[in-house]
Amino acid sequence: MAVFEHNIDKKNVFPDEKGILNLNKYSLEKDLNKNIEILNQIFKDDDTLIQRQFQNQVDKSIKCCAFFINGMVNNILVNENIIKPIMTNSLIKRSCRTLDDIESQILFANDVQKSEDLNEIIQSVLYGDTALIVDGSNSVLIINSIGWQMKAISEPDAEKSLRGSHEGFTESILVNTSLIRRRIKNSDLKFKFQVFGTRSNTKACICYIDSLVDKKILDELNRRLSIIDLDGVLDSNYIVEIIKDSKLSLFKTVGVTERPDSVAGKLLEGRIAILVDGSPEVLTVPYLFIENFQASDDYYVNFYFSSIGRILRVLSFFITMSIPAVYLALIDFHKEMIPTSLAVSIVQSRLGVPFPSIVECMLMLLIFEIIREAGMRMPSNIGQALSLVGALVIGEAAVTANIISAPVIIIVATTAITGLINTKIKGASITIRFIFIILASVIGLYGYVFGIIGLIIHLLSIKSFGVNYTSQMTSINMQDAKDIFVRAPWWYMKKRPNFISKDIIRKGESGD
Amino acid sequence: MIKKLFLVLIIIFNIFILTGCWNVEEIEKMEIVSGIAIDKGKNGVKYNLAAELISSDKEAKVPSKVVESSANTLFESTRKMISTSSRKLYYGHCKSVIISEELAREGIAPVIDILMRFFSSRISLDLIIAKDVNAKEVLKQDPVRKLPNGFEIETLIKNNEKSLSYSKKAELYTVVNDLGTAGMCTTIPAIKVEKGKSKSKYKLDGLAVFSKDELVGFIDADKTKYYLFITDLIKGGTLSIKVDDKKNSYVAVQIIKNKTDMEYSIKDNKLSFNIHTETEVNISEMATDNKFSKDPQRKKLKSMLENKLEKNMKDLIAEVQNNFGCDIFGFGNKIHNTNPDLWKHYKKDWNETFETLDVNVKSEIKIINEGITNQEIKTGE
Repeated sequence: MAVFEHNIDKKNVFPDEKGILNLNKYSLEKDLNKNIEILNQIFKDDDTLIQRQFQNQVDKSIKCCAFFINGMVNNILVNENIIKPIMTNSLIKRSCRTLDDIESQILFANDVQKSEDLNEIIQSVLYGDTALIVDGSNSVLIINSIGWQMKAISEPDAEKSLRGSHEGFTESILVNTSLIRRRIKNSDLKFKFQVFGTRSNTKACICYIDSLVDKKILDELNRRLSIIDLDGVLDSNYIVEIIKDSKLSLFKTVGVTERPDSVAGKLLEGRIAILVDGSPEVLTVPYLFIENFQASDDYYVNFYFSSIGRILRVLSFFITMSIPAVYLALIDFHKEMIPTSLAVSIVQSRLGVPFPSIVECMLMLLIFEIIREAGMRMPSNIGQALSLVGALVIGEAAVTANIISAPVIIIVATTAITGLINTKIKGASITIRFIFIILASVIGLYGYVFGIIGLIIHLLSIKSFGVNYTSQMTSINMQDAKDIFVRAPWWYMKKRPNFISKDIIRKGESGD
Repeated sequence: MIKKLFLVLIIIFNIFILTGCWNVEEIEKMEIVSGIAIDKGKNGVKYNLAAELISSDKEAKVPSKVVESSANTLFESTRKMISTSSRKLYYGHCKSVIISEELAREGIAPVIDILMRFFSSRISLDLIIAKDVNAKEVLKQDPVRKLPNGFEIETLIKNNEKSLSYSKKAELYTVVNDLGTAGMCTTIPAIKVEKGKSKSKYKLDGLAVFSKDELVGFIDADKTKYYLFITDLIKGGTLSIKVDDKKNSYVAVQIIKNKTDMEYSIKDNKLSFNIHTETEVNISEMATDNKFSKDPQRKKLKSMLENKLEKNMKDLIAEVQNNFGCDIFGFGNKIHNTNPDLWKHYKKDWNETFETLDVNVKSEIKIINEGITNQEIKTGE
């Protein structure tokens, strides 16, 4: 056969332009050695592939070979449950049914599949399964032996909570599905696997509760997922940017979370989750504007307290967008709107400052963003030096040296703190803030109001998977408003959001 | 896409075309004016304008400095000030405008015109008439609490109105309203400068009375209270009365609440006005052994207070009728508002009618309580 020749045609072995290995030329034979040759050919130059040939102690004609990838399998499992039973079994006889006998009588593995499809075999081996080839059969047994090292389940840094679960998703998709399953023990919870990335072959899983999900949203999601054509999907964000509505919008229309409890809560509202292997960030759709301000903590503490937190978060978002713009508009255009004594002290602190206030403001905000970015990328033990430079040099010294006026420091500090409260909407608020500053510095409050109107029009116009981005927020119905700016107590939340779920009565409470 | 972009650009450029009055001006590039004083100019020049500028130096000993300029128009003189202040003057935070008596006697309409027209000054400016002195003298006084005089005077008037009733606030827009109202003459608080031994300081001193826009005279500070009673503007203050001639003892009450009704009646073709005041008071000082906290002494005090109030109000009305002949109480306005047809009849020579107008005053006082104790201080028993 052509494949076994040394000078093989490159076209046949190397992946085609879509990245998929052309396997049509290969087919498995009944001869063990030939099969080994085929697999070796496919995994040529890959030293992580291990092939272990062995035979039964009694019937030496039973020859087997196990293929697996070093580091992806649980070695004890392969040794004890695959190789040992086959080697030591004294009852087995070589026949035409050897492979089936091994599968049904000898292997101690819980998940064994018989396959002749080379593609499937290769995918499984790459995923950490062990492929067992038995002499005399052109089928291969795929045995689940996944056992790679992974990060332990730990609390996500970006979404810490005071109360409630401290578990976070990991990089392994099966652990992640189990984290969700452990919270919703119901056969209605569906996990549908799909593979993305023609080269990376990344597993992804669409997860939903069948009786709650709106089929229209599910169909729309599947349609959008089907158009994904990437060679590598290394993080869930690769998918987000393709399936997202209004792709150029600053606002997220696909939710991202690292918290299993938050995903479970969203699934129970009829939302759909997408898990991507290798990424601890799980996507949820549809995603509404108000979800930017919801935290899982909100549901675990007293509803008065969580409502205050929620209101503070919404308020902070508007403050962080507006405060520098309003300050500039006031001191450059509408000085009569500043309380007189404040105006006097602003004048006093601005005297001798060489830059116009717009330059001053932009400069400080830029420096803050740089410090923030540096703090994020930097090893944590240099953090002290950074805060020293930030607080002392840029804050204190700049004012004393009359480079920056004191009110601007206060404005930038307020902007920064209020901006840090809402991490989920950080990107949008930074960009909007700069747009507002430019508008306000050119035409004053008029420009700022213009910006606000534009922002509201934009928010009202975008959708997430057919659901209005600001739905509920604009409603005056009490049941709709129960989880928006305040968090209503659980006994009051009798209905699910009706535009997401088809079954809006929460079970168990409908009888009340 | 290009079409869409083009449309967006058109909208953005519209912003620049559609805006009215806008200009960027850094806040520290201008001088904040806290108060202005307008006098008659010397040597035939029409106006002399003085503006008090807030000092922008943190360590400065005085909170403000005064700059002056003279010109035949006020607008010109505001611009002329730049020659001394170096920076442009900003009137957005200006709180008080002091007009000299001399200028006010010639009419305040031209002054009010520029204040209303001025692009950056507020219509809630306080107007004050400087009595017997030049307006700029008031601004040049040493400040009391390191605050610019312009602001100090505003606070002075506000607190005065609230708890002393020696004067009343006259904001620019209310004065404009009064000037344009039929059958109503305006009043503006008056201020004077008291010369002490080493230092002189300003002091509020009653009201300046205007006939149309010309100053005709002043009402004394203690009589201002009764003016406020009649016009239902009183917000607080005190009334004190001598209760015992022999012992020379007094009782003071605090005015809590007042409601004044003004009604007119026509009998035998003669117009007369009835004023009825209902006042709630607290006894706040009772340095006497007459037990006013109980009847019948309390009733006696009540009637004494009522008599005093009635008498003083009557006196004030008579004084205004005889001396000024202009209707500062708004009697004419009352007719105009309630019966416009009748007003047409009186409109032509209202001032003459006012001078001979018959006004009945009835006062009713309710003593609510006597402070937080009803005991008298006992001595020697």
